[in-house]
Amino acid sequence: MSTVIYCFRQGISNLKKNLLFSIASTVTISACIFLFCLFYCLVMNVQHIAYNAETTIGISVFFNEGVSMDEKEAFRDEVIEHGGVKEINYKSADEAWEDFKEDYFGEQSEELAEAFADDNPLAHSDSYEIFLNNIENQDSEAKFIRSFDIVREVNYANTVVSALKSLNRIIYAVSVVLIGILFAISVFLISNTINLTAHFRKRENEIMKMIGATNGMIRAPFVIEGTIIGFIGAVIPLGLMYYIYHRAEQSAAAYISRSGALSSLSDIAKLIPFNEIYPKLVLAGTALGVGIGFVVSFVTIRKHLKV
Amino acid sequence: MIEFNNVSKVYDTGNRAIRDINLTVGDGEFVFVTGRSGAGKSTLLKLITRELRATEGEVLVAGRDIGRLRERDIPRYRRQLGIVFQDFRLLNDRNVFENIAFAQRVIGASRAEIRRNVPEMMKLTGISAKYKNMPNQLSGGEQQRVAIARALINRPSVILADEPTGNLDERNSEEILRLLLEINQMGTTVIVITHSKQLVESVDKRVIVMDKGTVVDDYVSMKNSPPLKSFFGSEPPKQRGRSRRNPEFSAMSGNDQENGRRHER
Repeated sequence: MSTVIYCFRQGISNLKKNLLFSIASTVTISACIFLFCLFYCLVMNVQHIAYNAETTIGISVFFNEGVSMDEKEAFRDEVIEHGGVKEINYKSADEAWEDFKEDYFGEQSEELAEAFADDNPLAHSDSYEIFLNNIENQDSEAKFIRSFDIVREVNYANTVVSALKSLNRIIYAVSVVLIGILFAISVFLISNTINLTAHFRKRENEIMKMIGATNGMIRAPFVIEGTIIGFIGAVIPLGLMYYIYHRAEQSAAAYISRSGALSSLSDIAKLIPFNEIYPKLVLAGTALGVGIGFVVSFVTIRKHLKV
Repeated sequence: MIEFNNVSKVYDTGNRAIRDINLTVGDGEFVFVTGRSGAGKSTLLKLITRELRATEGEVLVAGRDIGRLRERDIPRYRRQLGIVFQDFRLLNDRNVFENIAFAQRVIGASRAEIRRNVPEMMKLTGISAKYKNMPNQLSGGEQQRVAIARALINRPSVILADEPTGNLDERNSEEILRLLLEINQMGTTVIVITHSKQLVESVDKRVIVMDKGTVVDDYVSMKNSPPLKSFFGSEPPKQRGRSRRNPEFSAMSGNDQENGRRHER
């Protein structure tokens, strides 16, 4: 216990001895972890939105003019028989018009829609909305549905989703490059800080070796120093992210509500809830900071152990 | 017991620092190792501390070939040794107490042990009154006492002193020698590496003379020089159970058996 306390004190003392280098290392690692958190949130949220789009929108199937209800029901049965369908709902032309009015005109729907009176602009737009058990099968299912002669149009989220996926790939590539550069700088700076401390403590290390200290005990204060740098370097961006994500979540919700977006769109565009994403950020950020600090200091100090 | 059996050490540069040495230092013995610069004294010491490994032959300490020690076993081995350096090697940012306690912390001693042992060592080495002083507030002799206390605190079986009086004046040198003799009388083996002819001649102790990597003489100094005699106030303790001169080296060095003090010739 006494040894652990001693090593810990020495680790903190090392930090104070090279305060400027320690601060530089901490700031760099903070920047690295901040960007990591930021891009992680972006990638996860874009994925989340893409998933929402796929699951919320489903596949809408519209029929040619003049197709009878029996034919439509026969179509439904065949689709169900084909398998993989979680839910299939019929939406009549009137229901479609009611939904549209509500989404676009809101509370004033009756007054604004008065101009259309008895004329349903969405006549012949009765449809089936199909939700699948596995959204990965959307493309093949859409292809299957298109093979029916009675089907006029098949809409699903593939365009939006593929755009979101492309965006995600770009964010991912940019983040990998940026984080990689910052990671390299962090490693360099922490390594330099540890080297500098080792230089200051050269005499002490030599004496320790001659007295019979194990490599572990000589290494411990340096590893503690590196780990503390990594830990503080993680705490700062995680604190920032706590604030930023909360604000982003609130702002996104406020924006959607202000803009009077479609109810289905507001479901899709929701960010991952803070309580769901933040624990992951804390875990990943801390592991990254502490991990970098620990590994870099551990490796750097090795060359100073040969006495 | 420390044994050198046909030990040679060749550095990477090709310099042959030790040449086929055979040597034995018994438990509880006090030995001076002397010789010119480059004679191989420090290499000999480093072979004992296992900073270096013999190129040929074996170095046995307590019957164990330390050349075969695994890296991870070296720290435990070194805890049997107490090492005193010419330049004291104290930590300048810590006071006397902390410098001595440092050796205990290194081996993971508890706070209670440290509180008990450090004052005891300070008392033994005569620096109790200065326990709060920083190294730069101490004289050379006092600093070396702190270094000796640090070397002793883990109760090593061997003390290796590398030029312990090299940076000290005559009076401080005498005090340090007396301290090392006292430690030896308590049963600890003491090996002192020194250039100082005066130091070697001041007590009746075994002297190993090295030159060009070989042992050229191994004898027991027989006279007390006047300054140290006055310091001790009486005859220093005699070495028991050893011949006055090792005949093996008589012919080599051509020394006079009677005075036994011509190792630098």
